[in-house]
Amino acid sequence: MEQQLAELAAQVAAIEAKGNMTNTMFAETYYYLTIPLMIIIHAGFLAYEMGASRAKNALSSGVKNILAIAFVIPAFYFFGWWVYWAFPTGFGLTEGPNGISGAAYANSFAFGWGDAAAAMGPNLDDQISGVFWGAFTLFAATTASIMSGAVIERIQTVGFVILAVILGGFSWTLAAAWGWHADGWLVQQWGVHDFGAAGLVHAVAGFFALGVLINLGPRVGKFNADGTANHIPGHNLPLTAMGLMLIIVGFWGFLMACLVVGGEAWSWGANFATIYGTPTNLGALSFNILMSVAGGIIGAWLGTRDPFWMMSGALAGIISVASGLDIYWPALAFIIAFGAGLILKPAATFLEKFGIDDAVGAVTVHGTIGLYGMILLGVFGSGYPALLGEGAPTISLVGQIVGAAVFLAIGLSTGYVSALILKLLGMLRVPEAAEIAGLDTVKVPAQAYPEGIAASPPAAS
Amino acid sequence: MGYPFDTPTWDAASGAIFMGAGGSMPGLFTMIAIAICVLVLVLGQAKETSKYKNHK
Repeated sequence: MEQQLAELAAQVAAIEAKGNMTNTMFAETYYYLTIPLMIIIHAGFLAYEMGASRAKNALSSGVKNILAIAFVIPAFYFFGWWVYWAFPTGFGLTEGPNGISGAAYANSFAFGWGDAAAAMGPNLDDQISGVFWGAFTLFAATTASIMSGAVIERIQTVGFVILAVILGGFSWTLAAAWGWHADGWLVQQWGVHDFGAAGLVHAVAGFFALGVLINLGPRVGKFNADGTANHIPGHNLPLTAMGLMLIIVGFWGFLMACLVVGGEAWSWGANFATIYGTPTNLGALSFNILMSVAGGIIGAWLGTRDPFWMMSGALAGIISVASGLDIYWPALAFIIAFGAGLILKPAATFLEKFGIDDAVGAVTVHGTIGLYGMILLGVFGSGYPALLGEGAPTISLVGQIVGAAVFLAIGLSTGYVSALILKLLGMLRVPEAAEIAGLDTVKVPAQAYPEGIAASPPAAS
Repeated sequence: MGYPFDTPTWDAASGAIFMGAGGSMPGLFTMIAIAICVLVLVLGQAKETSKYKNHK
């Protein structure tokens, strides 16, 4: 009998070990697959920005976008990952209540040198750090791409890359440490809830772009002497619309990566959870993302009839409910997204009245709508616990407004100051003659359309 | 550099398995990679500035 019990215990232990390994491999695969999905966001931004540029700047805009990814990735490896884990409690770099933050904690695994290097490369005992870092790195690259579209056709390449590194490596990461990390002071003290990063990614990037645009100035010919704005159409609207659709595809991966898989490092139990540890699942995302895409498109169609704004409306729809994708009722998500689609174009036009030339509406789609979404979650989601456990802070309108204000301030201040410094160094804007000639001609050793875009005659029947 | 364990067999392997694990080389290469990024930006800016000189 004892021998049978021992054999049974051994079999249970073996099954448990296999179950744990399966769970680990699932978590590893889950995060890994979010990375190529998020790369699709960048394929989309690439097409979007090249299409939104005039033909004389198409490749230059593409080069800028490609370099943003290339430099943000190592920047996030070198210091961005450390910032996320070191700063949650504020600039004091102290440890938070969950014990997973502060300079000492970040120093133990988030640096590419010393003993911490063991967690920053291939490691047989750590199947999560690499894929988790990878997903965060793509969040970082996304912020840079958001800013990238706003500044096309007149920004210097290296100046832009430096701005991308600051935004992707520090600005949004600081916002994430404060408002996404479970030890973040915005979460612990104000109950800020921004599950899908409407504020800490989109609003931060959107207002960072605004800070840059204030220093950068409008494109030649954008504004008339009386202050009225001219529309500068891109050379390929179908490419832009397709790019926007790709961005939306990629955001399924982005939002998928906002879930924490149960049972692994930095997880909150056996099931899916938000990054705050509160319960959710992929079903919640499916309901609300799809309904918000539809609502955003319909709202923008009603307001503009323009395919550019309709596809931007789809993106704005997702952003408008991203903070509460885990808890929204789908019909409410549709209504909020419809509102976002409806106000999109008027909000962009309003910005132009201040002499801001945002070439693709990034400040509006990501910045304004990001704040809109954060605040509306405070209106509809008040009372939900923002963290696990008894006595947890709850979501509130005041908390969401505080969070939105902090994210706006981080984005705008870091974007403005860094762009101002680059401007003083002569590294921000291209000379006017170069802008008029076209940046492809000035600095890209390739042609976008060497044979033109002439239509071919139909074949004889 | 090279295999980070004393015995050249995977049977003994656990933890970090990248080249130079446990030593100073990973940190050195990290520093070199940072330097490359900075240098490329410096060179890139010089090249870009020279391109603009013909369009002032």
